Amino acid sequence: MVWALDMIARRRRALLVAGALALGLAAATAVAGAEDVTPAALKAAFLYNFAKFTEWPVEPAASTPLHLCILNDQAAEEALARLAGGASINGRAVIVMRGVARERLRSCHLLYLAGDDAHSADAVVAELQGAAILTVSDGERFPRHGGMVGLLIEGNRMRFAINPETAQRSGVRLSSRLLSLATIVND
Amino acid sequence: MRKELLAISAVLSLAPGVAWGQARVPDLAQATLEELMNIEVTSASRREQRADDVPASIYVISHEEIRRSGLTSLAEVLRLAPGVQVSRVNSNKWTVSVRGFSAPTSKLLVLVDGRSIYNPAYSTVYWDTEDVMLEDVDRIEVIRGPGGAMWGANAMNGVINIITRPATETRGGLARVGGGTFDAADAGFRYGGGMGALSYRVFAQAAGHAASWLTSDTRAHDSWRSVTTGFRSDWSRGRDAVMLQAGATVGQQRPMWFDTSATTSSGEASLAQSNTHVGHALGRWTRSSAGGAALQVQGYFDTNHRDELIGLYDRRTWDVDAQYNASFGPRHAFVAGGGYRYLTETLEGRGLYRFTPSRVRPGISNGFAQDSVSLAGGRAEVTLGAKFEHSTYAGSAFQPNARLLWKATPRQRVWTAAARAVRTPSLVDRGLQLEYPAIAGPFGLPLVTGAVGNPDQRNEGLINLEAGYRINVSGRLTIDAVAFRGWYDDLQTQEPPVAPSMAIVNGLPTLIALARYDNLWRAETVGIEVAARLQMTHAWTIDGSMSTFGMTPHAGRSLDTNPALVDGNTGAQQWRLHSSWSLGGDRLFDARLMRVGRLAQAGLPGYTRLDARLEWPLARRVSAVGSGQNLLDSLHRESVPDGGLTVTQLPRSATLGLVWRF
Repeated sequence: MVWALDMIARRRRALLVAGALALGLAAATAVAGAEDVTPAALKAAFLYNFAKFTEWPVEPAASTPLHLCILNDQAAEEALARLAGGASINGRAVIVMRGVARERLRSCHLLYLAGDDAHSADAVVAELQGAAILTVSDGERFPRHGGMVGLLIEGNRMRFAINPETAQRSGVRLSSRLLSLATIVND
Repeated sequence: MRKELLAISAVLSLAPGVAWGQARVPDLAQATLEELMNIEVTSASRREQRADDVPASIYVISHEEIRRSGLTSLAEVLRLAPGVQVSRVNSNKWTVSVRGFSAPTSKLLVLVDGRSIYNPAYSTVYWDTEDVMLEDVDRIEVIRGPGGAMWGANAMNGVINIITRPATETRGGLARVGGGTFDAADAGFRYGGGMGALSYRVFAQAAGHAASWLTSDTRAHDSWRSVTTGFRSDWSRGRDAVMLQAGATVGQQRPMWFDTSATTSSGEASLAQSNTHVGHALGRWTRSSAGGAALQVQGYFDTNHRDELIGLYDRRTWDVDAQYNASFGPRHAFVAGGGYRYLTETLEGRGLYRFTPSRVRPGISNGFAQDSVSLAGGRAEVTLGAKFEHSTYAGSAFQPNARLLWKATPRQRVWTAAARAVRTPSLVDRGLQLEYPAIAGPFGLPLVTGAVGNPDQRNEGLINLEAGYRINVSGRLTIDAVAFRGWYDDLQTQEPPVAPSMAIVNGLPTLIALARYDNLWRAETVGIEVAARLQMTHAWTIDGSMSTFGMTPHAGRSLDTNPALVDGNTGAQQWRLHSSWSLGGDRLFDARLMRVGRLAQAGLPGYTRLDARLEWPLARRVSAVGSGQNLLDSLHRESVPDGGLTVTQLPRSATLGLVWRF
């Protein structure tokens, strides 16, 4: 520890610059306007809409809450919690599961897997095969390889690709509204 | 100092004018899907997929970041990552290093789509022959610290992984043409197409670069040019995916090597031209199995030829690698793999440079395994891994590592890692034979000085400890910080002879005093690297990074006084601040301020650099791009003389170009 403090003391100028930057960043966060859409918030809005236009198989207790889960993207999870936490879809309360553990994924109704790592997304999808969970990830590859919905950016705007057969096989019903706006892909 | 503070406030506080042609953004909770699909996404979503849960010092330079940087060479683009020191030696040579030891760049592994571009004989990376088409780079992963366990020896201080975009994402055409004051002229063309599950692209680019400056009124002689062509194809069906790619680059450079054939040992810079050509072919097959496991097999052939003043170099590499990923239950993610690489390297010294042996044919086999275990209900993850490598030329290396990740809160991550890494000696380290022409020595006898390699040169070793912290504040601000400490052993030194030896040369008694390569230094390094990104508004992002570095050497028995070993030729601190605006209508403006600190031991002052870029669409598919680099100084120097190259001064420069997408 002593060597770290000593090093910082000697590099006074670096500390000054770092301090100025930190102050600037803090001020900017406080001042940033309300009219802004971060990519995380946009993604969260899409996920919320996917949940709005999807029907899951009937569950024993008809008004059990809807669980929305996100893996590996804190920003999107935070945005989804702010956007949809406490809302209700088709009479069911929406709960965003914070920091969901891998062993509890089966209790999710919608699962978004962030990250470029195709292997881990494939592994999770394989584990959950057959479960009525709407699986969403990034890229067109995901719905071609066992997933249901892939979010992608085309020409600076967000789009999504859907594999309707995968959804059908697991008992998840996607509204024709979603299918009409999506790019349809097959296995 | 004042100049910098002014520039910082300018970059930070320029109100972006959210009102510049932006449609009013709807309340997201009430927006319809159609409205959501109409919102302009100004920073690609991929940027937000940071590697939150990777227990390593990783920074991903995204495609979007490369595009908006206004930079045209791979080595320059690496400046965007924290903790990476890029020094441009002259117009066609760079040294790139991470966490010290920048002379030469011997401790960094650089891969393009899994193919190593490290030059084993010279223990460095020659960036002048790496002419990747930047528009088709998907991302550059910069991993600081030992990457030994996954990527092998010579990844001691870091791994740079350049990944190109799959052909499925580059359908359509792109043509680019431009020119400027320093990047004199360039043109690039790519066309991508496909049929069903098969996608392909072909591309070609040519560039000419001007000379830099020796003094404010003397031009240097270091211009260079290159032509590159290549293709990539991707095919997938069911559970199989196959990727094929090939490329070739032909170039001519004037590196301005010191001409050692002069009568004094410090000759003039030579105007000799180097001719280089490199080529490669690579194939990769991936098969995903039903249970989520995946097997990947990759093979490549690489040829590298450099015809230069100091020597004629030829290298051919054949490499085959396999990797298997599987999950065992919900708690274990396992990766194992191995490979074999066969190289033939020939280095025929010219002038006074000679290498013994002049040819090596090492076969390098390696195996690695890594397991990540999820604990405490998913709140923590422990990763253990190791790589074993054996080279018929350089011996064996064992590199273990252990990592721990703790998901402290939903928005914070803490991680720590301990690793051991190795650098194996090169053809130059073991076989160099450099003798300058004799000069008048003591007692009237001729004296020959120079350097000689050590056939028993050992591996350099590193034990590294690091810890990191990541936080996401309100979904808009992310901060990623790392602190590290490294203990280096058996560092390479050049030992001056204690006393000259006597030999009979051409019938005359001659004193011979050759410096000999050895492994006699130890050193400790310490530092902190921080990166942060703040999404100010829908149209404005600021990101920045800062790194500090310190080295404590221990000379031990060594008599080597080379300053490179004392501070590693690395500035004590660096920082970068970047402001990125979308002005509406696909107009993009970026400004970047960077500071590279002073090299204390070498006496090189630090420099502050301002770059800017403006992209302005002219028609539906055509954009004009203008950029400027080094706008604050008319000339500045970034490096110190080392390794025989002439160091020049780099000018302020600007380029203008057109891009047509069809």
